[in-house]
Amino acid sequence: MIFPCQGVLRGPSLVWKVIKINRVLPQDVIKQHRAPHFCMHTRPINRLPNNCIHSSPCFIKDILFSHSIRNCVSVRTTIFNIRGFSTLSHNKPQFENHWVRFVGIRLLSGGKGTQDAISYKRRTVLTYILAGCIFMVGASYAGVPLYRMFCQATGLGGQAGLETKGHKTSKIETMQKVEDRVIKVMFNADVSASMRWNFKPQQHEIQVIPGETALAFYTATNPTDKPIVGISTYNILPFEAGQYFNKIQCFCFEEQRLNPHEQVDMPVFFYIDPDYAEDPKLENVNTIFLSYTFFEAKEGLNLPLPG
Amino acid sequence: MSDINFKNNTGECRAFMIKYMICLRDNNKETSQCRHESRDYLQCRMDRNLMKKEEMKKLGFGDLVEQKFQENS
Repeated sequence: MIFPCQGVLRGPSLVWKVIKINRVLPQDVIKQHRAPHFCMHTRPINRLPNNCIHSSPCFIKDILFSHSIRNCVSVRTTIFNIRGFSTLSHNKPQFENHWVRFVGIRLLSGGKGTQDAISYKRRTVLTYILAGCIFMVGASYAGVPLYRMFCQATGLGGQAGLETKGHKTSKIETMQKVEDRVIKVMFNADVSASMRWNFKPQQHEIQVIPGETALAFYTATNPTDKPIVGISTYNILPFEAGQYFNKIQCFCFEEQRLNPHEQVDMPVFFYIDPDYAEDPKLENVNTIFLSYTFFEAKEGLNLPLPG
Repeated sequence: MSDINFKNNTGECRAFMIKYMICLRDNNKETSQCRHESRDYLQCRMDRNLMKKEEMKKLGFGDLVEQKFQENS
């Protein structure tokens, strides 16, 4: 015969643990019980007849190895609950009866107990699920500022390290240039499809040393007869180099308004962190692409600036 | 990032920019050779309130400041 709960309750050893306790069942409890009857071995607990208690050890095994796991769990708790009262030895039948009776009564009268346990478990599961849903909704709202902070800190996705005001100026003062690495920075300028500015870099490429500040220029012209407001965004390739590319002054993320037929020179003042030379992933990377794109903005548009 | 102000830009610092670009062209695009010109350009912008004022050494021109000081003294 296969007992499905064997794994749950670790087999007969559980019975023997209970058996070791030596206190005697109180006499008044014994008097309340009926005489024992024999019952079938293989019935599940919830279908045992009310007075189905017998003194064979097989009964205990049936209780433990019931067909339903739910019942087994309630059996386990029940058996631990009665530890204070049990006493059992196969050599002393009178005590064995008392113990078995007590187990039987607890189990049978505790039909209600198992129902409570089930509903308690259901409530617990529902609470956990609800908490999980609320957490996911909250996380999706919290994701926006968290992602922004993460991108700034790690430079993932080509975002250059942000120069917070006064935060890194001490680094600029003290950083040492790495003379043996020369990095070529190439410039690219784009406009969005509907943007009618002429936007181009003044230099195609420059040679920069990590640890030294450098200047580069872009030029934008508005050839139309109407003023156009633009907002720019930039990207650094390769992505891993982005975290070492620090801009001190630039024209990004802010509205730039160009009157008809006006031309402006836009400087980008930046440096490459000296730690660039120590990054093993960038050992063979000697070219960086800085790419700006201008988009047309509606008047009065207020973009949330990074940081 | 809002430190560069284009609103009143009348192209006064364009001369400095052109000097810088000529320097780059003459030095094989190496910015380390053209640091005087880039410092001059940024100084021009700061003087005309087109850029937030910063000390030169905070912009990485500390060694140039010392050089100028030594030349003058």
